[in-house]
Amino acid sequence: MTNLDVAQRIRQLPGWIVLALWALVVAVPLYILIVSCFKTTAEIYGDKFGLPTNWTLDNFANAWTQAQFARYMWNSFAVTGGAVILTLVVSAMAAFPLSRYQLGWSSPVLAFFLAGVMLPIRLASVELFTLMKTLDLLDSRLGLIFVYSAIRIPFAVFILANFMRVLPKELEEAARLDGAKEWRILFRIILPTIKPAVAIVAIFTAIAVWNDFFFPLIFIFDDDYKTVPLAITTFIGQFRTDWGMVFAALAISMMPVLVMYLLLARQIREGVGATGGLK
Amino acid sequence: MIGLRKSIFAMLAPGLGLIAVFILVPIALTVWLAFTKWSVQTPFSSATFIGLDNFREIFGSTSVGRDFKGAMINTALYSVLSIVLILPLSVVFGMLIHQAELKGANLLRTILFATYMVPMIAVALVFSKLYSPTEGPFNQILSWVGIGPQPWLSSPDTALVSIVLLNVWQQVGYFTILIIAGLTQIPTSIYEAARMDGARGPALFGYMTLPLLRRTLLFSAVIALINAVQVFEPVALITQGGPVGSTNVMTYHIRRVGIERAQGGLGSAMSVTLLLALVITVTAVFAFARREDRR
Repeated sequence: MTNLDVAQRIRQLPGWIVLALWALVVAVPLYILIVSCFKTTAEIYGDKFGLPTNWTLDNFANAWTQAQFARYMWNSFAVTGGAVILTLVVSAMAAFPLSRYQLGWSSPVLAFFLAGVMLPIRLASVELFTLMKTLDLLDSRLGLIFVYSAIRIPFAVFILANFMRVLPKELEEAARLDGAKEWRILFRIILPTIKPAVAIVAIFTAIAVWNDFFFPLIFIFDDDYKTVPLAITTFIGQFRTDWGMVFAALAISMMPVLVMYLLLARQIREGVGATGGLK
Repeated sequence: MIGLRKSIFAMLAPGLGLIAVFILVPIALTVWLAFTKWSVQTPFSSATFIGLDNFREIFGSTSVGRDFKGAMINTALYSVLSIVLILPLSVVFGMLIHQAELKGANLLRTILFATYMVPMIAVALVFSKLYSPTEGPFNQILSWVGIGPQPWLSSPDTALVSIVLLNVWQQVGYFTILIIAGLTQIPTSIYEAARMDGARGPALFGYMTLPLLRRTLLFSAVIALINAVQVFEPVALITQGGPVGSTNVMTYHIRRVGIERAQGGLGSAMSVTLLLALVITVTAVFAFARREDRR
């Protein structure tokens, strides 16, 4: 190690300390969440930093057998999967003409899509609730899928159109000369070449939908259609809350996203970067 | 050509249709219902036009008006505090991670961004334990450095700030990554030129980095604002608007008035007022940025 290296290291030291402190701030709540899964409720109310006296998986077992947890998981998977697929298909269809055809009016349409990002739909939740009731979409996984897709489409169209715009024109021209339909060109030629964009859209839609608590709270009353976040909140407050079980249920619900995150951390970060290009 | 036009329309229609039905229609209904007397238990057609009465009531001096103004102020405070904390922290962390080719920077990014994956209900529930006034970990940590216990969520003076802090904890990672993305778009040659001219440290940051980051910062601020005015989960799960209304924010209040008290018209008038305030703020911020751009 040369003197220069040492000097460099020393200059970076304050930065390192700041980042390490923040990493600690991030880690403490996550640590509490994880150890609480293995504790009894009495232990959770006692020493919160300590490790459990005996590690037990009882909380997980209790959470899983509580009410119909498997059913809640299935609902969450169905709603998330449905919303991801619908968002992707519909957004790809819209992004294609907006980015690949010479349309005089494509910017106002894009602006319309972007307006969707800016509108805080939660402020219209009372009307949305009544609208869903009118459309017979309360207590319905399909209703949730429609609302989530509508919310995620603007972002998806934006990302997909940005990636499609830079593809060479020749890509689809040969296919068009062969008489291929536009749909076929989009789904067989264009989408496969912009897989990273498709992944970004899928990942961000999945995280947002999987974690959401607000819309199920408004639209779902029947226990059979509850998604995991909504179901977990119903474990709280009736009589005595079994906090160990609540934390274990939260941990179970975070597993799919966590696994995805650890596998795809870099792509996810690049996805955020891609939204930063929104100018 | 007609075939193509038809297929363009067919390709755009589902996306535009979904946004129209599930976003634009509810917002348009909100604006209309703000001028009516309407209960959620009845269909839209039962609403009767009453002009500006709802607005008069929410800006009046009755308890309805007091609660609404309280919720507006809470939401504004929450939003401003969130932005004021999140953006500078994100810039600091973004610069530190981006600038120094730190070893382990990737690991740091993974840790910093992890909070974005944690569902808001988990954040809210874990923090409600962390904030526990008697044996809560936060008060324990404070006692190590000689600071007395804080009331956190149990006092009207500190409850809103406590909610802001858990929001900051969750969001900083996301905005840090946005800032890093903005920083990577600044060509390094610009920095080299500035360094040749003798610019150092703070000057380099103030005159080069911040202005070049302006678009990213503007975008981040608008996103953070739109997120912040829609805060709901921590309030619904841990404070229920209390103590003494100190965390009663707009989404929570509108839901309470509109659905639980079934006063849809009043709730809509509140939504419209907040929506207007938001539109004015965002437009002003953009106008300000554009003027700066021209200078």
